[in-house]
Amino acid sequence: MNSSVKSVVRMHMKDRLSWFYLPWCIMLSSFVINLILAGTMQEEQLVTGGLASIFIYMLVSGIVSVQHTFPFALGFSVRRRDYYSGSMVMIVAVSLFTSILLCLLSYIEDASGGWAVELYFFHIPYITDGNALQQLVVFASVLLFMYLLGFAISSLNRRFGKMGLYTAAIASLVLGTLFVYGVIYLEWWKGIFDFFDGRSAFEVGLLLLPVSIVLSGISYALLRRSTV
Amino acid sequence: MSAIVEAKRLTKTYGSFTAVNNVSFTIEPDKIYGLLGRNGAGKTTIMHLITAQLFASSGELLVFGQEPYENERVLRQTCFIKESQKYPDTFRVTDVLGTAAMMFPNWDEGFAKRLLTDFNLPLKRRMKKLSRGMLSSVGIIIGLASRAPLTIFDEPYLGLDAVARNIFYERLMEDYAEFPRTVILSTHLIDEVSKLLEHVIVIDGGQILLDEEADSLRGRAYTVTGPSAKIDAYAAGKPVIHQEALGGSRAVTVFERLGATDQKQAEALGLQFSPVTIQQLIVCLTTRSSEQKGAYL
Amino acid sequence: MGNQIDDSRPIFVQIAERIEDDILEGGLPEESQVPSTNQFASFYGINPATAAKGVNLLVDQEILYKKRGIGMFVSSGAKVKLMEKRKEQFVEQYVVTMMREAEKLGITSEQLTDMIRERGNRA
Repeated sequence: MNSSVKSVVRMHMKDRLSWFYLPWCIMLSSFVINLILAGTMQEEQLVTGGLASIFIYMLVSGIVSVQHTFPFALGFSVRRRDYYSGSMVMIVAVSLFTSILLCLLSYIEDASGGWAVELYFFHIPYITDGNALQQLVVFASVLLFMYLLGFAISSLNRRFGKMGLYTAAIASLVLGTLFVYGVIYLEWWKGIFDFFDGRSAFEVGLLLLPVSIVLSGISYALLRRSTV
Repeated sequence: MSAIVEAKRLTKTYGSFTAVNNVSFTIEPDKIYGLLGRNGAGKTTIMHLITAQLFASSGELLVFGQEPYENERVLRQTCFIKESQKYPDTFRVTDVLGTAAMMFPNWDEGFAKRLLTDFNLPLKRRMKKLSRGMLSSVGIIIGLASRAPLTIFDEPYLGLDAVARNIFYERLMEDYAEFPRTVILSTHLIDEVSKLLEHVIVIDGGQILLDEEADSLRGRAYTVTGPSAKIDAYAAGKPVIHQEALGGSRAVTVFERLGATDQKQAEALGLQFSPVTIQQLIVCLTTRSSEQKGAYL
Repeated sequence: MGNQIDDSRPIFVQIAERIEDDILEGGLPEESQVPSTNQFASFYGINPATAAKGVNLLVDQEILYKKRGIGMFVSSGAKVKLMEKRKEQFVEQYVVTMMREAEKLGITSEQLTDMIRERGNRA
């Protein structure tokens, strides 16, 4: 890692609020509410989707981050390449770090019988079915995917402005419609169903990785020609 | 020493609008340049091109002898302070200065601290909560303490009062004397900075109107005042760049050095002379209508 | 900052004139050291390169000379030289202007010399 890339990572590190405190505050407040709920409910097991908040946060954060830090970094004479590399390092590191914490909490949740009130917030069927490493990969790959999706959307906005976003939105709408048409009328659903049937969360997580790499590559291509 | 910036036939267009039109100029090392002109003249675009934050439509541009785009060696030596600089919402003053300290290899922390006291900036305050003047002070501190071999200030003091601006001029000149470097200063406040400038480049309508040593512009034009008829007789055939009438008298600004013979001729006619400052000269030159433009240059 | 530098005449000329005035008025005796370019620059709030140009103008006219590694000094004989130069300017600047104005007001050259003599006696 050259010194400029390191500086970009350290620039991101200065924003601990957005990278660490905020996502955990949002998720943990959801957790606390669920904990109270589970505590008041008797005899019943509570499985919630509150964990999704951290993944959604990652998407939003990916969008906001480029918007704020790209013009800032370029204004400080940082190369686009170094900004990109530093941001990627930061995203991977945060995803891994967050995943480790999530795994840890999932393990504690399981071992403590759902925090003694049978709340299943981190330890969710299917998602955390595998062993510790597999769980880690599931969390990390989804976090990474969400962040990079946000990053790519924001890079598109940087490069082509609002028109670029609208065009991409319309294009994905058209493609989505065609896809749904295919799924329903051309009976693609059979193939899709077969494809996912019997695949573990771990395997799906692994499949997300190449998609993430493509998103990352697209972001780089867009940022290389972006202006401030 | 070779040139710091060399632009040849540089052009930047946005659709049908030409922001910078076929501009060629050279920035020499360790001089203070004034990049002057009206709003929308193309100054900011040129500065963005030099720092590779915008891409030229055509032409050649070398900074420190190389193309600036994605060029680590060039960008490390460049600091561009602009009025429109964006900061992350969550950043405090201390975060921004800390980032600058990492990004600029010549950063002088002691100098930055002294400037912080000079400008009375609250370190812990979020950038979002700063007043316009405080934001400008942050930019000025970064621009000065980075000691970049090429430092560019684009309207660096929006919202700053005369006292703070004076502090900026003084610190800039002190530090420049000790650590000579190339400075490009773009501003409207020509009268305030003209004494600090060694060289002046005036941009108008995306083109270069003047590219000269600042001192050679002083006394480069003069205004003659007197009765209309006499003024007309005097000014006939002379490069008049501005005129005003008041009752029966008229004042014309002539873009040439006042020669001894002119002066004698005019004094014999009973006309009054006043020399023209750099600011007045630039205002005259850039307010002329487009068909007149370039007529005497 | 400021110190009466006029932005409508080349600053290097004004700096040279200030130094000349100082030499003529005795503020800078012959063989004494002249302030450095940076001192001029910060005193008048001007660009050091412009100040250097003013100093160099006087070096070219041998009013000042450079001691390597120390700085600029006033040459011996500088004062006399300057007085000669200023006398020439004096005629152009004051005498010619005065006579032109006198002519306008119908003052004869005899009346003019009388007026000057009278003043001189009074002073």
